[in-house]
Order: sequence, then C-alpha cells, then structure tokens
Amino acid sequence: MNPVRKKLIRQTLLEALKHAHGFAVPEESLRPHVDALIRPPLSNEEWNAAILELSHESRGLIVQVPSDLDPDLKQWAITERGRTLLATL
Amino acid sequence: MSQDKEIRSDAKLKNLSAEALEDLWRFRNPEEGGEKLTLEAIAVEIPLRWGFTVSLSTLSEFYSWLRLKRRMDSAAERAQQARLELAKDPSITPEDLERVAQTVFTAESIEAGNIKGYVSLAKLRLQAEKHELERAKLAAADKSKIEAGLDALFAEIQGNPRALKLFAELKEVVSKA
Repeated sequence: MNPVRKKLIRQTLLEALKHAHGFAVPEESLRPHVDALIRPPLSNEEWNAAILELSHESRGLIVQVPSDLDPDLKQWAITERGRTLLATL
Repeated sequence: MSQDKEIRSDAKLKNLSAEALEDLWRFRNPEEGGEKLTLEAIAVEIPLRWGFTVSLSTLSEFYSWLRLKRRMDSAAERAQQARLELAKDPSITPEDLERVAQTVFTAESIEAGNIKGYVSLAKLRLQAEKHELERAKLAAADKSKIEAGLDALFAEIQGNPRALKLFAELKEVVSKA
C-alpha cells in the first residue's frame, strides 16, 4: 500500500476516536467517517489492516471495548499511547 | 505540493474556534427559515471571515468530519447526562456507571436508521432469553415430577436389596440429567 495513504488512514482513524471524549466508537459509525475523508474509500482489506496494526499488542494505540448493547458489535477506543502518537503526526 | 496545501487548509478549518465551527455548520444546516449556502458560496465566505482559502473537495471533506464530530459531541453529552443521573443512585457502582454511559454513547453515535436494527436485535435477544428461561422452568418442573415418582417407588421397594441397588443407580442418572 502507498505509505502516504497508509499513514493518512491511521491518522484519520485515530483522530476520529480522539473526538469521542474517551468513549469507544462502534465500527458502524467509525468506518463511514474514515471513508468520507479518504478518497477513494477504504477497501475491507485496508480497514482490517489498519485496525489490526493500531490494536496490536506491541503498539496498543487503540483498544476494543465490549458492548453491552450488542455483544457482536465491534467498538474501539483510543489509548493514551494513541493520543501521544497522534500529537506527533 | 497541492496535497500539502489541502492538508494545511483542512487543518485550519478543523482548528477554528467553536463559534466559527458553529457558524460553518449553520451555513449548511440553517435554522428554520434560514438560507442554506452552497459549498461554492462558503468557499468565498471563508477567506473573507478567516483569511485563508479552501478547495471545494477540502470543504466537502471538512463537512463530513464536522458532522461526525457533532454527532460524537452530542452522544458524549447524552452519555454524560445519563452518568450524572445514575450517579444519584448510591447502589450503582462506578463500573456500572461507565458501562451504562458507554452504552448510551454507542446507541447515540450509531445512525438513526441503524438504531432501529439494534432495537429489533435487542428485542429478539430478550425473547430468546425469555424462551430459555421458560424452557429451564419446564425442565425443572419435569424433574420434580420424576423425583416425586422416585420417592413413591423408593417406598415400594423397601426390603428388596437388588431393587434398592438399581434404584440408587437410577437416581444418580436422574440427578445428572
């Protein structure tokens, strides 16, 4: 993947989560937002790769939070490490 | 180079004051009776008010960003209200408070169309739980009937060691069922 696009996807994702006031954001809301800001919109492969990389244990930039509304719902929150990294991008 | 310029003007828009962001939102989402401005008109207005230029594509992306930001701000506000309301109840633990606030935020941040789907899903889940509870009650009632039958049988076979041995095995099977 184009490294500039890759960085833009990760940055946009972290920025979106930063606006959530510390709450976790469901993918149903998060993905359309990232898609709207990046042209062309993300493929599923790009989305999954970004989520996997940001949430990987060694990086810990975002974390999955279980949902009481629906156990199958995936939702993500930015971590302190994620905020710190975002400030440097 | 043009991409760098776009990123800079996008960042300038996002970093405007809350009042300026509200003005920009109202340009596209006027209150009743107000005039909705086109992106072209807003692109002309921005340099006059805030001193920098933006392309139409940057402006279009900015409004997508602003829509999500406002939805998240609103969801967080509702979640905070729920948190404050529940905090009045001393029996609610801090962990439960956070869980409820997160659930409110999740529900509020999902598009209205999707909420209907989640409500339907939640209803189905409640129905499934109810059916499971009823099934468990019926099974418990059946087990009581069997146990009552066993008690009667036990009274009948007193004094018959072979029958008592078989009875003990049968009772073990029933207790594990």
